[in-house]
Amino acid sequence: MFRLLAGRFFASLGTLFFVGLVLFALTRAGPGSPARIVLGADATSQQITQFEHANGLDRPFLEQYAAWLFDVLRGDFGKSFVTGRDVAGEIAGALPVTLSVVLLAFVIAIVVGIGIGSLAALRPGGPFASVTRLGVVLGLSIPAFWLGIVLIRFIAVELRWLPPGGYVPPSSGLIAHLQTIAMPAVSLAVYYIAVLARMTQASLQDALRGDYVRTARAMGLSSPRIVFYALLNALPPVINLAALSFGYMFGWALIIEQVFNIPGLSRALLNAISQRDFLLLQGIVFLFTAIFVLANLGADLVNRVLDPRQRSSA
Amino acid sequence: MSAPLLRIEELRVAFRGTGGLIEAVRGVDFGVAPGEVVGIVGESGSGKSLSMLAVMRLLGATARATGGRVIFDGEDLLAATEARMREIRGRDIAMVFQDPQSSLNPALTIGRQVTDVVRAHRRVSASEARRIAVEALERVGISEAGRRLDAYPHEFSGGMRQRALIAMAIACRPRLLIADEPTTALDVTVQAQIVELIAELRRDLGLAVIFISHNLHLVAEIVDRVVVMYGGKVVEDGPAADIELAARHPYTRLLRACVPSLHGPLGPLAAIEGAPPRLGRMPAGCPFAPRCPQAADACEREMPPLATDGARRIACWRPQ
Ligand SMILES: Nc1ncnc2c1ncn2[C@@H]1O[C@H](COP(=O)(O)OP(=O)(O)O)[C@@H](O)[C@H]1O
Ligand SMILES: [Mg+2]
Repeated sequence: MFRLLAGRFFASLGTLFFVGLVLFALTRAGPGSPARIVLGADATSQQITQFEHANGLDRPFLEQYAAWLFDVLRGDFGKSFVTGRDVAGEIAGALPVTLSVVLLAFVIAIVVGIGIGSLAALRPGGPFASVTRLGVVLGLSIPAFWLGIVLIRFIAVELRWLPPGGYVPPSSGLIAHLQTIAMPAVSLAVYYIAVLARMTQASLQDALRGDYVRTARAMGLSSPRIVFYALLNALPPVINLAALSFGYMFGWALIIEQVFNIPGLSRALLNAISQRDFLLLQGIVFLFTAIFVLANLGADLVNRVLDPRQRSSA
Repeated sequence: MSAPLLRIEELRVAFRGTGGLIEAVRGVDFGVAPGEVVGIVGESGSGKSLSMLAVMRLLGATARATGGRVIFDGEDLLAATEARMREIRGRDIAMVFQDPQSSLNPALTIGRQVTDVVRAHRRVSASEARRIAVEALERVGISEAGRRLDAYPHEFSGGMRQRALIAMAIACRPRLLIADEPTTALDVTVQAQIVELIAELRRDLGLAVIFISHNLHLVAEIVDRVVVMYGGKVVEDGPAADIELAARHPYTRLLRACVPSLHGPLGPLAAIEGAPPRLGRMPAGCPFAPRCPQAADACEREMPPLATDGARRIACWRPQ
């Protein structure tokens, strides 16, 4: 098992290496030298050569990449050419904000999605299953940002239950913190609740038709226990999908953060784009990729723990 | 004969088909005495499994018992609540199925699956449940049972899995074991071992057994009585030796000829010509008439009743 896991780990590192390479190439492929962007249009060519030399931009491309990657692996994302600020520091300031929204959305999506999907699987033709089918279509078609706006309108503006936007860090009070991220997290979660509910329903329905379920019933086991045991076999595809969802959520979180005026990675990313601050851009996108790869690695691990056939194979 | 442990009376099972309800079990009627081993034989599709699933009240959402009674120990199971059935299943009547590969939960250890049955029916501590599980596994011939509790199904061979399933079935000492083609998916040598095991359990535990098979010779080795089914009906029923040596229904006689005996010489494999009647298209008369070498006009017109003749019963207008 450890060999398999080690294999998966190195495969993940490989993925990161190549994604980083493509990213590095793309951010450099745009017109104009970064030096020109930083120094302005009227800089002399001597100034530009000097700047490029000072920042290692005149070295061969692969050498630059290798240097950047080694620094990244040590946690150093470089200094922005534009602002002169430390990229890692910039990211470290914004990441916890985005992460708290995404984590809450993820927990909501997992608990509610798997819960609804399981209940719907119990009686395939029943009323709850029909309502779920409708709810899933609805959940898949409502855009998260629109839902966010609707929530602000009704829950914040009309009912005044929650603040319409802004962000309070957990260090300034957990309740206040949760109040600021509740609506963003729910907006973000709805689509993934639908996705996970549908997958859970299909997978569990399938498992419940299994011969071992009939055996368990023939032995007089209670229904909740039988469903739980079937769920153990139904979860792997759900877990894989949840890992993908976790990755995608970071992308959608950027839009949600704009709707709710939350100072997370979206602000940093938009600034990076508009100022052509490509070290920062590169750092954030690389971070997203790393999160995606790690989430999938995590799903693999959980599935291996769930499935004894994989656990015992060397 | 003592009062029967199980009495199936005029049992009917139907499921929803494209053209309304389709009857697949059409009035099955027989009993099982305490400690008796009854074999049910018949070609695939004759309604053997559906009848027994109806007894256990384990028919899926699509099928249901539409008539008759199933009296177990004086109680009509078709009228019992689901909660009551849960008590009975595994404790009084247990059932094992055809495919041991898929009948155990791959995510749980063998020990967990056996102890779960024990704890579903008896208030015992975890360690006591484990002890009972080990005893059950040892009884079905699994060596080093204590160590094997922590094994997963995929670490067991097909024969071992069927043994484990039988251990689950007998762990609470039920009075009736229903085995639905328990050997069909297994190698021939393993088949014989499982048949031998069931005979042994019956001897040691005084268990009544319903053993379903399409192999008449296999069944005849261990059963007291054979019930022959065709087209959702019982067509012949009698002591095993009589049925094996002197079957009177033409269907039973053909069935006997087309399966090789476990011990006898391996002759050419015969098969009964034609196919069983399609569901929903049952002929008005004897369902076997279209394939029967003895069929006469009367056979096509009217279904013969299941008539008693000494220890035997037979539904045929022209018995041999
Ligand atoms: N849920 C179901 N839906 C439709 N047809 C079924 C269902 N269950 C069983 N049948 C049909 O009913 C007939 C009897 O099935 P079964 O009792 O399994 O036969 P046996 O066990 O004797 O081989 C078969 O023709 C089978 O195809
Ligand atoms: Mg069958």
